[in-house]
Amino acid sequence: MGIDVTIRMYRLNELGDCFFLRFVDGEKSCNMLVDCGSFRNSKKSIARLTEIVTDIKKNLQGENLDVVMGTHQHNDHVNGFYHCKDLFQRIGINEVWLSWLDNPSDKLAKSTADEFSRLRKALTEAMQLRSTKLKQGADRKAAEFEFLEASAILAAGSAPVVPQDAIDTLRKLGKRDPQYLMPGKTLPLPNIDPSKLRLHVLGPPRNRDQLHDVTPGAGESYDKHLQAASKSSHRLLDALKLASGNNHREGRDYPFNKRYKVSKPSKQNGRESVYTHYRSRENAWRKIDNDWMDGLDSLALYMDTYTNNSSLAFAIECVKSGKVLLFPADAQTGNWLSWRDLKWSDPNLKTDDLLKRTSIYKVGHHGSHNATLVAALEMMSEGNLSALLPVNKNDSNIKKENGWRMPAAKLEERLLQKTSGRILRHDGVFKGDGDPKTAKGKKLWNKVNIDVREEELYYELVAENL
Amino acid sequence: MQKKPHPAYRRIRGYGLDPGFSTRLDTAGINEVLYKIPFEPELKSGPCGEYVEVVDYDPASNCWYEPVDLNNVDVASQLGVVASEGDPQFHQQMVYAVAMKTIAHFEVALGRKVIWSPRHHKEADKDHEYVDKIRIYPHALREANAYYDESKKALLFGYFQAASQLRGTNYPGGIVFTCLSPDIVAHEMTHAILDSIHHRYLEDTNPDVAAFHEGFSDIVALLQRFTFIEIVEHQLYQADGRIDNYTALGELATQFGEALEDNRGALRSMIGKWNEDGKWLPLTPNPDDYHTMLEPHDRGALLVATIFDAFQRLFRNTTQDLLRIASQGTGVLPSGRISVDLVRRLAREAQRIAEYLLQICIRALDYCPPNDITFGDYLRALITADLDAAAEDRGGYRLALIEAFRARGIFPERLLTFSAASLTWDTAHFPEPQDKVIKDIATRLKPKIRELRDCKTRKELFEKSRDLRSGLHEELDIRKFAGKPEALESLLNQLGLTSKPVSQLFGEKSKKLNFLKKGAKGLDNTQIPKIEVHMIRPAERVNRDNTMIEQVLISLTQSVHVEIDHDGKKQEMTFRGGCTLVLKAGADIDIQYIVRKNLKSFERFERQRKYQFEDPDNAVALTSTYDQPTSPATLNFKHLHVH
Repeated sequence: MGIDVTIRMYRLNELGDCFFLRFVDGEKSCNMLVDCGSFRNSKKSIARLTEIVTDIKKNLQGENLDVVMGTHQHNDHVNGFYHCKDLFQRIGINEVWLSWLDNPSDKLAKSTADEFSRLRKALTEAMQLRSTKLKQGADRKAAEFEFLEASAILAAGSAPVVPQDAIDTLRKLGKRDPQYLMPGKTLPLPNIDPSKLRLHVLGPPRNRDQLHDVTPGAGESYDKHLQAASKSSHRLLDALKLASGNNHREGRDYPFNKRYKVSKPSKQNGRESVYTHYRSRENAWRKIDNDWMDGLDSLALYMDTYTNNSSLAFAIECVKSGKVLLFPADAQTGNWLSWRDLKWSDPNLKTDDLLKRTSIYKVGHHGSHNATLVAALEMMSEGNLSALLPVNKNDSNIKKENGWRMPAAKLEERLLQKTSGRILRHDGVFKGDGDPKTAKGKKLWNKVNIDVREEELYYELVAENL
Repeated sequence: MQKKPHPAYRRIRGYGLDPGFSTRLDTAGINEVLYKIPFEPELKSGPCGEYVEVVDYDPASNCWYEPVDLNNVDVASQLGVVASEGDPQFHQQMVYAVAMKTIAHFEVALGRKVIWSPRHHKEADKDHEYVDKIRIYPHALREANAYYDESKKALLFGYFQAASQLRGTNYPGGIVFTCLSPDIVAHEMTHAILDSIHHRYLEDTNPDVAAFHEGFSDIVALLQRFTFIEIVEHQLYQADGRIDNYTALGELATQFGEALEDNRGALRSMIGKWNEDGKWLPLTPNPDDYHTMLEPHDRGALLVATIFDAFQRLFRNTTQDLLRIASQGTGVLPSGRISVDLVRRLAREAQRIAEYLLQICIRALDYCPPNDITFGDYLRALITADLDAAAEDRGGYRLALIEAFRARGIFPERLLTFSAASLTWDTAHFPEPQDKVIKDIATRLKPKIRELRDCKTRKELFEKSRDLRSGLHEELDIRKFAGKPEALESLLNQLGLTSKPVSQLFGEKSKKLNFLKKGAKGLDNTQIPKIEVHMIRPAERVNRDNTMIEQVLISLTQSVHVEIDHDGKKQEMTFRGGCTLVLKAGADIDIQYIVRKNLKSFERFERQRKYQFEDPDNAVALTSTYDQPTSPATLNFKHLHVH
């Protein structure tokens, strides 16, 4: 006999991932939760998360969660652990699995985390200073860009560290010490015969360069981009402190020795001073007083991409049928590319093979254009594939004009072809014929031996004897 | 008393490569070069000259740096401020030198003055205001970025702190100033110059447009690098016995890509790369490249690699004899250091080829369509422009270009054969009665065109040219046209334009479209699109074969605004058409070439619509994984450049 698999994709009203997986092997079973998060920390978001966790509890009928995985430190994946901490405590979690990057006793992880938190701290403070300053300046509209990380930081207001706190909370929720997963490792799932079901850890890469950059320079072991970003953010913070009237002494000699710095250049012979010229009314359109502050946005974007790429990516392999469930979280190109170089303890196993056998694909990063490696998607078996796409197009960041392009049009188009329309989305919209409420859709799902049930709160997929 | 003539050139010190090369023993001696730029007698401190003004305000540091006065005896007698990364006045001098060198290259190649793209005011009465100088802010940003800000007509350069590990020539933890990189300054300056010639290239209407802006700016910066003979000589000398496999110059070009790495990385691996043993290997082009590389930076890099490939082919072709002479006929040099004389000769050849090729690349701009450019158009422009400049292709420049484009699968549309003759734009033929219409217009405008050549200042040229543009605009207005309307319509059709209402634009296919009124809400399917005369400029060019050629360049466009239903929202699409006219200005003024983007082409309209609305993944201003804050139809250099 194979394994019976049930997957519940909980439906969020905005960007968010929450997947409940149940594996049954005869009398034995394993309950697993992958992420629990919603993009905002608003009352509405928390209410929805509470509804979801309550349902998880009800569904477990007194059983514990055997494994909970938190893939990376973003609200839309983990803030549920923070907001619904009490509920999770009542449910009971046996094991918590996190990425090696969350391991406090891993030296490499620690230095990365320290650098990252320096960046986050400086950037958060700088963003706040900027928004105060821009509100004061009458000639400039408020910040134009609303980046995920930046806006989440600011929107959260008093709780700027929710994702980090969420992981800390999760660490303590488990009955045992958390396990920190390394790429290239194969693990059994609790209670289940490892010859029938196993989990392969794909990412995040151990090589730091691949965390963000895909083509690092030779001989560099340290992540130069992270360090450079952190440095930049501090220099911008210094500047913002200066602009906010904070007379600090740091950076006095940056970028030039202070003797070169003047508040007003002297009058030049035969010519109005360049200062007067710059300040004159008819030249006002060429001023650059605030342009440098936009540098914060690219840093915020960098930070956001970095965190996405730190995603714990894994594949669950049903040995008998050979079918694979692929959960890359929000991994972006660098993470995906690193999987190929993994050497597995099972000499017969190849990463490409796992991709080829993928039959259920949790689409990376809500379907953004650079979180599904084209070559990998092309490998996935056409005709056999189904996709879980955690996207709700009603999210205001997607809906607004020139909003986030999720899912990316071309990716969605290709997914539709690869899955013959078997794509489930949070908002219940079907671009193809895969709606399980219709006879046609039901047939499509049954063709790959999956039963789908739609509820307001989730989609439930049941596949037997895998 | 007779006024003494000014010197023709000003010589100022500057870096030829990035400042890091000055701290390396092997390159320290050659990195400081002398920039020879046109002498500006009226140069003020700043420097602030006729074309550019350097304004050294550092808003993030809340301070100013005293402007350098290059006319001060203490400074001028030393050929400018001594090169130093720690002295802001040297930075001001450096950006000025590179900017002026770049402008000078354009003016020589184009045979006319550079006049900046006018300021587009919000208030209609002030629209198209003359801009005399481009502003250069050498220390405007605290990030690894530099860009041309079209709305401010300014170049903004950033500085940042390098990471603390050794990388390339960086001083670990040291400050990197983008304004000290000649490659970056030349690149940004070229964006501004290109914008002054073809303002519509800021509109992202096909996958080549953004790539062209990037790629062309890199081409100018790269070829400019090869015009410093000291640097080429040094590179060749360092190359030792590897000269005969011609990798030395490729290495220099790859370094160029790496110099820009913090700004944009695509170029660094496009020309070649170093393998694990430190050996440089050229990249072999693939005929699928043009169809598979769609991201604007990759595609721009593809264009640069194509031009550089042509450069290498030319260099190899021209220097084979020298190598044979130096190797007793074998063409294979003995190992060890090569003769200094040979290096000098080779370097001079490289410099000469780079200068010609740069001239060809720049001059081709005048043979490009006014909007919606593709690489195929550019190839045709290169070939046509050079045919005008050198009837005989001595040195094989055209063939080298054709081979390089072919190797990457870049073919112009609707072309049956691929030869220099078929790549040339078609010469214009006007049957009666169009011919008469043209002759009449030309006769009326001729005296005014002649006047343009006598203008003393760029501002006068701008204003006179503006009057002339409105004169031509009137001539082509159907409501004011005295002759037969059909004659005007058939003439305009040849120019890619129309005098008919928009409802007839695409024949039957127009009926399904809704045309918007520009600047006002509401639909209007009866409007006749206004003909815009963008440019009328005479040019006097010195040819490759040292003859002179007098030309007049005119560009005409029309635009329609169409309502598109997209994603449940009504959006506006601007579709433009028109032509660039290249006229021979002898005793008569004759149209030589019409480089056209037909407004009446429904096929082109559909292609643009699909690109802009159905292919959102291709959008250019891709600032974030999710976010796309600027309109997909406009290029934003700031975002294109961000690392």
